[in-house]
Amino acid sequence: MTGAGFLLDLHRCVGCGACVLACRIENGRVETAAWRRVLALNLRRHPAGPTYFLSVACHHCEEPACLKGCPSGAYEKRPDGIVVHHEDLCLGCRYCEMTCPFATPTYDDAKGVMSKCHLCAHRVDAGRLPACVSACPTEALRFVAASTTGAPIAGAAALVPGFADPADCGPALRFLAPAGTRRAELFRSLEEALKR
Amino acid sequence: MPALRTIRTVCPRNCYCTCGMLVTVDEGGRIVSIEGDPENPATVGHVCLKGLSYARREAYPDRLLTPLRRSASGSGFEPVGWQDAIGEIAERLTRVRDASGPASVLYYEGSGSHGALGGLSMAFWRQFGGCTTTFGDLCWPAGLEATRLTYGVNFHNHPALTVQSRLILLWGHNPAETNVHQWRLILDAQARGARVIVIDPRQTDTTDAADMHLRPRPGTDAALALGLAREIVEAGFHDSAFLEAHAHGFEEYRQRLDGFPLEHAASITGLDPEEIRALALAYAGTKPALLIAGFGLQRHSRAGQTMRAVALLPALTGNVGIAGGGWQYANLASHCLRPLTLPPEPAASRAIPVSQVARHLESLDGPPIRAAWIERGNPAAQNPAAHRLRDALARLDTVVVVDQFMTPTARLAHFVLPAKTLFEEEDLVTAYWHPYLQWRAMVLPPPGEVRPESEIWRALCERLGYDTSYFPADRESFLQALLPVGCGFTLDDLKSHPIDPSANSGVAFADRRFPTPSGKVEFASDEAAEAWGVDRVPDYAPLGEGAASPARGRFPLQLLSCKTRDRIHSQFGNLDWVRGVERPHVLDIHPDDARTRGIADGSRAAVWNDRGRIELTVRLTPGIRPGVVHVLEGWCHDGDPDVNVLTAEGITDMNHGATFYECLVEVARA
Amino acid sequence: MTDGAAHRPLVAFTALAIAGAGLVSAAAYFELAHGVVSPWAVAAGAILLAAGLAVSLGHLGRKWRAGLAARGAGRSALSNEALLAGLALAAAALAAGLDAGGSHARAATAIAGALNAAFLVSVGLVYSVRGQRTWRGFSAATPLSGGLAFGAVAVQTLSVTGGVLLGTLLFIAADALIFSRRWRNAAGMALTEATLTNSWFIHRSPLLGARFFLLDVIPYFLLAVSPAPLAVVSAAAGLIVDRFSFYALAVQHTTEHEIAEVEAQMASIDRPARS
Repeated sequence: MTGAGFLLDLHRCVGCGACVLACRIENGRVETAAWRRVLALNLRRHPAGPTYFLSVACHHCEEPACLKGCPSGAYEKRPDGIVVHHEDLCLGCRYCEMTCPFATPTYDDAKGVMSKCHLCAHRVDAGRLPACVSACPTEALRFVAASTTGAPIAGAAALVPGFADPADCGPALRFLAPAGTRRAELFRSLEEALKR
Repeated sequence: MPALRTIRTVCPRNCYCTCGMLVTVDEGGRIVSIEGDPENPATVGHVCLKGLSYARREAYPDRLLTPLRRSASGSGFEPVGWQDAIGEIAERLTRVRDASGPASVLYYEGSGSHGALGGLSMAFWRQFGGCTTTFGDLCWPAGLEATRLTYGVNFHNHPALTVQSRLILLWGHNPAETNVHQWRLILDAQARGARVIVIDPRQTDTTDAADMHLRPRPGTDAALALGLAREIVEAGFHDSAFLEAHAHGFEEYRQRLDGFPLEHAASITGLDPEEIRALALAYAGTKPALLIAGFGLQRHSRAGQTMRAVALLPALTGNVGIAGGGWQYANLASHCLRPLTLPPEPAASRAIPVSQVARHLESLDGPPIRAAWIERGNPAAQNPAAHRLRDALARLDTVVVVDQFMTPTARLAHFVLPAKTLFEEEDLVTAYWHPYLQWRAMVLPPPGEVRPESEIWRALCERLGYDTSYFPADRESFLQALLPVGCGFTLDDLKSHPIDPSANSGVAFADRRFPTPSGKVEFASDEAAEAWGVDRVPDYAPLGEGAASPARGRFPLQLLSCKTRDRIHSQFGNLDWVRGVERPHVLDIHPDDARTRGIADGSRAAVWNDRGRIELTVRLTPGIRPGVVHVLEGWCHDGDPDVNVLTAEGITDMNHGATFYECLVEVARA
Repeated sequence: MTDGAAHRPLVAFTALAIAGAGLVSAAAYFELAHGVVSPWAVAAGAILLAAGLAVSLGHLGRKWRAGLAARGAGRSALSNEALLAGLALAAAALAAGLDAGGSHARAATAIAGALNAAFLVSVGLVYSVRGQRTWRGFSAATPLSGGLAFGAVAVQTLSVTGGVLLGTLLFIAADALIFSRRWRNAAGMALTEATLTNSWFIHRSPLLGARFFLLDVIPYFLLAVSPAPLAVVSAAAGLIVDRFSFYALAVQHTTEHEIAEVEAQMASIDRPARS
């Protein structure tokens, strides 16, 4: 069983942040911290590497650090792989904030609890796409449903320069490599250089 | 569970996309969702980050909700009721008019909000006795005129046909930032094997994805276009059959090309001769090929002739009137509405060029300008010579500004009137990329004391005893009456989906009929020479303040001030949601240029010329052409406006446009 | 990572708890190994531990839910720590109570010592997370080694007469050795855009040096020259600096940091610049 997750097409993502705002609207994150963020790699366009953008929220890991460390058991991994946080069990100890290697859970000062992306489980359960995926104007951010076949997505990578998994949590995020004649070449040579 | 309403509407910003939107609100008037309207075939199911940010903008804490009057102490504002505001404004404007004449009042209308009802302001001004308005446009007019002179009309192919292109040439255009829907279509075409080639002095999100990128010196594109044309003709790749049937003045044009051999074009543009040749062969050798020119290409004094030179390349190669091909600049197919019924224009009215407002405020006479009404715009930040404009406004007797937020322009006003948002008044909205006319619905009532501009004008007319019959008694029937006679659709049709009033196939000039004087594509144009005093055939001349001018001795760097997707000019940039995702505001400078000036990455630098000086943070950017620096336009927070203190009040060679990108500066450690 | 304000209750909590548990464990060791009985150390330790736990509530966003903290025992290191904290406090309180009642029980002290030592280990395990770049490796052992060193210095100075016991010096030396590894790891981390997002990071050497001197070197020399309560003061100060620096120097792995590292490596790749 492969859990649900996001697929990001690095060629199509322009780092606009529409996904961030759509999530804010859907989940009522008006004046609190956003659950999604968009990061730029090489925005100054150094010639040694490509330029692309990583839109990241929660990666609904196979072995989530947040779930493992939570003293009160406020995290649950659903059968479809979505990792949800139960506010009513949260102490606000912020341990998950320290243990997540992706800095995903955010603390709400006013409510004294943590929160994070839940892959719009309420929309997914209703057969709809997560809000961020629906909103992406270039269709770069995609939703990959849970699958029993476990077949990997053609051409998709789990790790790209700029995204690592230092704690072996097994994030469900997948990437399609950036294209365009020059950028694809720079991407390949950067991957090579980093392996050395 | 509160009941939810989903309403179809449209975004009325000065933007290519003019997205169809579906807005869902709950009983309490809270926006719970904003999505793209699937019924708009161009924007399909998406809006952009700015469209989504309306959910925050609508009820933003800083939003102005009451009329404001400058307080007696002179600093800060105090709330005032509408009755008093209208009464005092009417009294002050009539006093200025009676002393100095109606033309002593400037009515300035920006591009901040599109819609047919915007024209109702003239119902007041013409009964007032006239006023000074502006003519020309800060943005695109040279290219519009160049296209009209060449092809007869500003139409282009339906955007959805982009996916059929085999080669897409983007010239001075950055759709990854400025037209995200077009960008999606280009990516789709690229995924099917189309090549994407970009001509831009900067590296941008668009050039990142390109298959080929040329970086010429800004302002030399006419030489590049003529050089490319010469290569194409030399190689025999021009479409002789098309030219035989549909070109006027080709021989005259061909002689012009003799002056642009490869090495000459290369030396003017600063490009490599081989890359020019490669581009020529690629463009001419691939069909259908689409050439999209951005507005940035024409923000200088040689704009019209440059755009004519570039616009002729699709005709040269027979890429006109075919799906997947064409010249794409602006599409006015949706501009079909009947004009408003207005009072006659009084003789006292006059107009000043919109790119020279500062100097006219300073020194216009017969009569001088003593009062100003500014709405839907932010000229104190966005116009050339913004600081002089600001100072001149501050000296006026009466300034009234209508806006949603306290912008730099509003801060100079004596009265600030709270403006509506797109959700708070019905209207009809045209576009300039896709061919759709769209209905803008009333989604929410205006909050607080906010009134739409049309109601403000009506109130002023009432106060002065003018005829108010020009204003809508009922907006829907008023707008229904603006639909073209015999158009075959009604307002109710528009409420259920966008409509293309041109009812053509989506391929511009498929019938090869060009409404020019000759009925053909004009490679040589008498009208251009007569109307604008330019050469009959497109030519190249160096910019007065450009790469080849003597001023470079003192100001060696060419400054570009391009657009970001985070804003529409100076709108949206104040919102916390947008500031959380926006790109950093920096001066992009090449590391070589920075090194010779001893400027470190991340440090503060001063940018100046004879017109002004600003300071900002530096980012060493290997991706920009050496000799060129860049700051994003539209930034007007954290203090005074910046880049436009450096820009000049120039005018384009045709059609009264502005010359924002014709700007030389020097940079040094601050 | 978390903002600085979130750290203060944790610094106080862990400083107090480690000091307290260290006292109890050291007291038990000294009694079992050297026959030195120090009931005041068990009592003081219990009080410090209790104070620490009270302060730890101040860190919680929802303090009234603190009882839920033990639900994850077995899976969650933090849950285990909470459980052990309770057991350690109960055992220390019992032993201190017996002492106060006049019936000192060696077994009670021994059990309290064992439980408090286990608690110190569990504190180390809580922070042994791979998502934090400065908390990996030997830093997991420093609550135990630091707590014991502090406790040993306190008991040695205030309870033992007639010479410095080898055990005391060994505890200090062990802590010095373990901590020096942590110092080396932290000092070895490059000053990159990522690590510099933490404004304390550039001061890591003075901070860690201060901790080293205050908790290990100064007490060691004071004990060698002339055992005095000053050694306890120094050790206590060292423990506080230890806890402060632990949180202050935290560098969490994030995708932002990962990107910054890749950009730094890109900048050093030899490529001709485009003309």
